[in-house]
Amino acid sequence: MADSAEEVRKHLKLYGMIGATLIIFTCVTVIVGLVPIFDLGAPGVTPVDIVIGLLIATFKSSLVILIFMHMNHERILIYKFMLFTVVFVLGMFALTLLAESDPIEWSGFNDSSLFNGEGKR
Amino acid sequence: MEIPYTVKARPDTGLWNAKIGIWLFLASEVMLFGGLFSGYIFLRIGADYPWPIQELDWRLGMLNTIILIASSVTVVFAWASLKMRQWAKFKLYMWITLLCAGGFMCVKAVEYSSKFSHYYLLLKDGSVVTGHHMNSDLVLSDVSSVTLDVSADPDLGVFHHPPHHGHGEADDEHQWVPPTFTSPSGTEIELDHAFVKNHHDLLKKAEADAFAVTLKSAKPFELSVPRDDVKVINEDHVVLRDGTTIHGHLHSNSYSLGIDLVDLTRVVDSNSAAILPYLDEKTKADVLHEISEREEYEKEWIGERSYEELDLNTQVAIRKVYLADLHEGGHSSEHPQVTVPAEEIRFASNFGPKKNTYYSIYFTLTGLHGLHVIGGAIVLAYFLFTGRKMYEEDPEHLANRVEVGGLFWHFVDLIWIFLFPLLYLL
Repeated sequence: MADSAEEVRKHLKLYGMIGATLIIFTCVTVIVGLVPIFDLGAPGVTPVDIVIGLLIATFKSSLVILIFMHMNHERILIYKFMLFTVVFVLGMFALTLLAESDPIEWSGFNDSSLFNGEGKR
Repeated sequence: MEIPYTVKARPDTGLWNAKIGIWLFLASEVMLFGGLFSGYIFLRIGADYPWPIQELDWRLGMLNTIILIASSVTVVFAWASLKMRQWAKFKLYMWITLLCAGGFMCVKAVEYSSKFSHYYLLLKDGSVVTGHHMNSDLVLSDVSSVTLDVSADPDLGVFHHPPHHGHGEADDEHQWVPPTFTSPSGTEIELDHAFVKNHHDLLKKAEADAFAVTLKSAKPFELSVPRDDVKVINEDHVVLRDGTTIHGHLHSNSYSLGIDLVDLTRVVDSNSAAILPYLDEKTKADVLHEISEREEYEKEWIGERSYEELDLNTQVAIRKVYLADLHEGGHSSEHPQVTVPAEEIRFASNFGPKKNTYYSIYFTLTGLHGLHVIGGAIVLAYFLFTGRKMYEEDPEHLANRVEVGGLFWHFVDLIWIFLFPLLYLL
């Protein structure tokens, strides 16, 4: 536990390096988002881009959580809190995505005659 | 009585009080933002219009990301300085953190204000133009009389902001000369906001049982009225929200805009888009030429498919033309003026929360995040400005409080790490 002054001093360089890493990966995220290197011929933002972008964001956030927020050497009770939270957040996202595959449709929406392409109406 | 375990850890959990408290609070914050993120996913999957991709300025977003990451590093250093009992360094790093927070909010203010001054017109066939300096005022010519609803609030109405919204006899735009009217009793009066407000009771008495007073103008004049003030539009009179009726000829009922974008994604045939007749010849030719060039460029990907069969990304890639991209160098200062009659318009708005669900979730997410930045900054500022006393009495206690404030700050940074790619890049 980074409790004593000595341990904190030892970690200072690490904090600086993590900060630099975060900034570098921010630039990587921008490149992935803007430059079409992962496209398989398809223009615009494809699902592959979205997955890669979110993976990079997850990696960056894990650096912040583990090192800046000291999660890499926290107490068990805190880990239990976070596990509880993660389960519920994933459950919430799952419910959202499951709602999309809900077969009930309602034809009461205004006309989407302006729209060419996707539309369940 | 001393509260136990504010500095020393509890033997069974190994944690001091505030640490448990802040992690529980962060867990609830995760659920809060998680709910909004799943709202974003829901809106994006279910959108029945082209979801805006890379419409926001990524350079400002990236700047904000770097500012926030830097502030996360400095808040850790501030906590570390306290742990190592280096008071001056603690103050330095805290100041930098607070300045970064201020910088973040300034950039956010720039972003928000640019959206409120950027306008969007959707025509009935699906053509879209966007731009700045929108003027949607109604112009009435030959105004012969005005009927005031004296039962209404005298603060509303066309004569509330005279210099912008109307002019009387003189042509001098800087000098508001109210038009003159004859009152029901025959006296000549100058009608302006002060008159209406001061004579509200008099007007009511003059037409004892009536709810309206009609004032005839001595000489017909021209008036331009902001669209937001208008309730009913007719060829020979308009009715304002406060009940004032202006009798005159409706000279012009249109939206005019200095455009920066022509988007024909939702138009069936780009060559017969409804916006085209309102563009000048050069802009129209440039836009249509650009679209056909893009179709040529994407020929392989498109193959034999018709426009309707293409996926949305490709449709947008072909038909959404930023005028700045048409010119070499990537930036054009030319914003052609376009005026579209109101009958052609299906929807007009600025780029605020009401434009579409993307902008409403954008403002909700970034606005709530911005409030968290302000709140976190207030807490850190409190430690910076009032911490000296606690530092002298019990420095470890202050270090713990700063650690807890820093944990919240890292959480705020975490949210932004996800918001930036989600809203600006993907």
